[in-house]
Amino acid sequence: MPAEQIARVVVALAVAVGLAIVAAHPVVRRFEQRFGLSVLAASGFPLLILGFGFRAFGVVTEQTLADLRPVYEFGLGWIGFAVGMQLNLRRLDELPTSFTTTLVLMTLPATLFAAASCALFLAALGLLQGTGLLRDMLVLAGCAAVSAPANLRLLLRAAPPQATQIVNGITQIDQVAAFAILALVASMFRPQAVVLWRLPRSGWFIVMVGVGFLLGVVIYMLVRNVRSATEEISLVIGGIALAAGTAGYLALSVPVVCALAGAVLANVPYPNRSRLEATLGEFERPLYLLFLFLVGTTWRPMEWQGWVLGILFALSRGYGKFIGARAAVRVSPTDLPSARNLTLSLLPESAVAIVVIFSLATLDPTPVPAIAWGINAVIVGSVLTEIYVQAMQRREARLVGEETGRFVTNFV
Amino acid sequence: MSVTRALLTLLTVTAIAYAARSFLPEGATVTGSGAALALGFLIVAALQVGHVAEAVGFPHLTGYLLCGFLFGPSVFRIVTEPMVTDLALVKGTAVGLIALLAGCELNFKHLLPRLRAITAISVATMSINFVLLTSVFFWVASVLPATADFTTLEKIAVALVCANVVAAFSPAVVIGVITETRAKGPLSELCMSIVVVADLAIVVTYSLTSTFARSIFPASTVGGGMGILAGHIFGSILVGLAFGALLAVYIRRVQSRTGLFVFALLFIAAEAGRVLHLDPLLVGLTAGLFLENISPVSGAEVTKATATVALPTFAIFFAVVGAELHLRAFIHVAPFAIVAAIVRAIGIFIGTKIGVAMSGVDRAQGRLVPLGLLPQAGVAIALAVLVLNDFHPWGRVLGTVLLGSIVVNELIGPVLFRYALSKAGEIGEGEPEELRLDPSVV
Repeated sequence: MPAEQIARVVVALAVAVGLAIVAAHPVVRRFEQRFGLSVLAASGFPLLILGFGFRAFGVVTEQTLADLRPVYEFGLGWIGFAVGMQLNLRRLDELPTSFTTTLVLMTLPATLFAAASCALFLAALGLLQGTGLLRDMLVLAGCAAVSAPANLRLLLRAAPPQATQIVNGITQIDQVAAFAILALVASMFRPQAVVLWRLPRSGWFIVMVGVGFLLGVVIYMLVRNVRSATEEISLVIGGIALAAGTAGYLALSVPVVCALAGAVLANVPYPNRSRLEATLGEFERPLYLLFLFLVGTTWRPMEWQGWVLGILFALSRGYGKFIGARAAVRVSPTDLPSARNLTLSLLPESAVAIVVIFSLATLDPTPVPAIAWGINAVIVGSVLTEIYVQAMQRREARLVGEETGRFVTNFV
Repeated sequence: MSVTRALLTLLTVTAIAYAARSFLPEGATVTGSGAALALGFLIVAALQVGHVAEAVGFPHLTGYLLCGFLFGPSVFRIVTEPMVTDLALVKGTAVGLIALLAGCELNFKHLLPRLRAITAISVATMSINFVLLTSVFFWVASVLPATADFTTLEKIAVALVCANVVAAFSPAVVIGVITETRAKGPLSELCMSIVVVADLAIVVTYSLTSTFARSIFPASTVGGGMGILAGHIFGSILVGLAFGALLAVYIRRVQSRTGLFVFALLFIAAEAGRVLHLDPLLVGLTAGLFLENISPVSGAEVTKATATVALPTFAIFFAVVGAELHLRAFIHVAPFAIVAAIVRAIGIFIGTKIGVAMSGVDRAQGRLVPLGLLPQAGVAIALAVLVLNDFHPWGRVLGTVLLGSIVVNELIGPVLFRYALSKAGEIGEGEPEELRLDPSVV
């Protein structure tokens, strides 16, 4: 290898390690928390640029990406499992009755609007025909479904107490909607390959659900009565890796299968659940950062279509949320804040969107322009949404200051 | 976990993996080779076999190796050759982690009072073993079809590399046995110090011998002679020092997700090492030594922080190593492996006798020291894997001999060391705070 390239590799790796330290530093995390920034908005572009740059300069090669395949399949499984662990049916029973209606209204219009507008744009470009268009439309709908809570203490300060509970519940359950769409995509659009199992599409759906539940039971068998926390974590790592590996081998959706396994563990008597949830949460952030970096290696920032798609995605998703919020407030006026504040509370995009779009890339190893543009759409959409929410929150904070006669920062 | 439950779990995960494997015809792929399936299956299965091994008196590590061997391409074929190849990343990272943890165990200040005994026994044992084992492997290289046509210089290079690997000890197993048995006393301390110091020397000498071998076999080298040697050794040490410093800063300043950071750093070392021709072992060892002896961060902090990732990493590493053992090739070379193991044992006994006489260690204690030097595991396996991967085509054949010899020592070593500790009356004498490796890791 020429000396110049070696120097480039060394410098680039040093930059990567440096950024990892910076990204993990408590000061950075406090900064994000203080300003209510999501991972996508705070780290999206730097990591995308890093991934893109590393690929362009030959630091990350096909070999590196191939080496990383077991790691990123495992990472998808980990996040899926963490999402599934939030699906505790007992907790759902405690939510107010208006929750389901609000959930549907806050999720469905946004996904439909985002999917329809993006699909129209992609179809207008003439690049996508038939099932490819339907698949990408569904995945973008999944990305539009997931939301992260904004600054609820500020936006819901005057709302009924159950509003916070509903909004927090929605941010957890809308991930399930996104995963359901992913499950549909993975069952409907099977890769073209010579396989020994011949099943109808609905059969693949049943296989996916069955594998998820079976592996959930296996993980439960593994972690019951462990001797130490280290052993428990090792077995959970092993169990998730097995679930992710099995799903990946069968070309099923990795996060969906692992989410089902996580849901099993969330609903059986398990004394160390909170410790396990903390461990799962501990590794989530670095995994999102890794995914952002990896999607950066397939990013195409020079293609205008991705940027237009991003703006369309953000606008249609935001409008869908607003329409949904107006309807939800009409249906349950006593449980919810104003339509504007409800929209703002659920407007930020969850990092799970990255998992959804990244899953598509793993299900279909052939690089398709729409996937690269879709990545742009999710990241650009997230940043635009975040800018808007931040501006609105600042305005809200100023109002609070005027109401109370004291200086109030944006982030109460 | 009870043996019955471990076996039941093993049966279940094997059935799942077997069923999943029936999805594709032999050799076909849809999304990658299925390395992720192998990864998950091997972690879970290896941990279960480790429990079973523990129940019958063997270290967990033996169980991990056995698991990989049984379910690998040689026997049940649940894990295929391409899957094993694609798990190279985990392997490279694990080698670095093993070395890092070994370095973290070596505190020079603690070794000073026993320096004379440690130096005398280490030097005598290693020198005699080098001479004996080089002769044995020269003979092996002359007999095996893969190397029989080599020139004398080439056979010497092969013999030096192989002797170097078989001469290695196992700090991990020694520390593991001491921890398991709660042993405390002069024999435990002496054995542990010797194996750690000697393994440090082994890693350095391996860099020398492998570089020499690379210059003799140009097909597996990218440069020439002393230039590579300097770059390989000093480059690895420099990178190791930089990694050590980086880790120290991270642990002090960030104090969050240290295990993951260590893992990421070692992955980068393994990836960059492939391009820059660095030795992941030397990088990891230097980083560990820096942390334990120079930086304000203690090795114990690193060991504790990496405990979460260490157990699954080691399980998968040793299982993959087991999967790489080719049954036919192993049967073919088994006599050579057994001869190498016997000669190594003889070398250890003679070397220890000389070292003990030179340093004035108590004779009764001196008689038991060789039993503590017999186990082989992590570092030796890591070096054998390097031989397997780095020297084509003879590395695959000789690597199997090396692994065979290591397996023999791995199986009998811990049992004999436990006997020695019992004979010295050190078992159950203390709560060994300074022994920091999780027993289930080793």
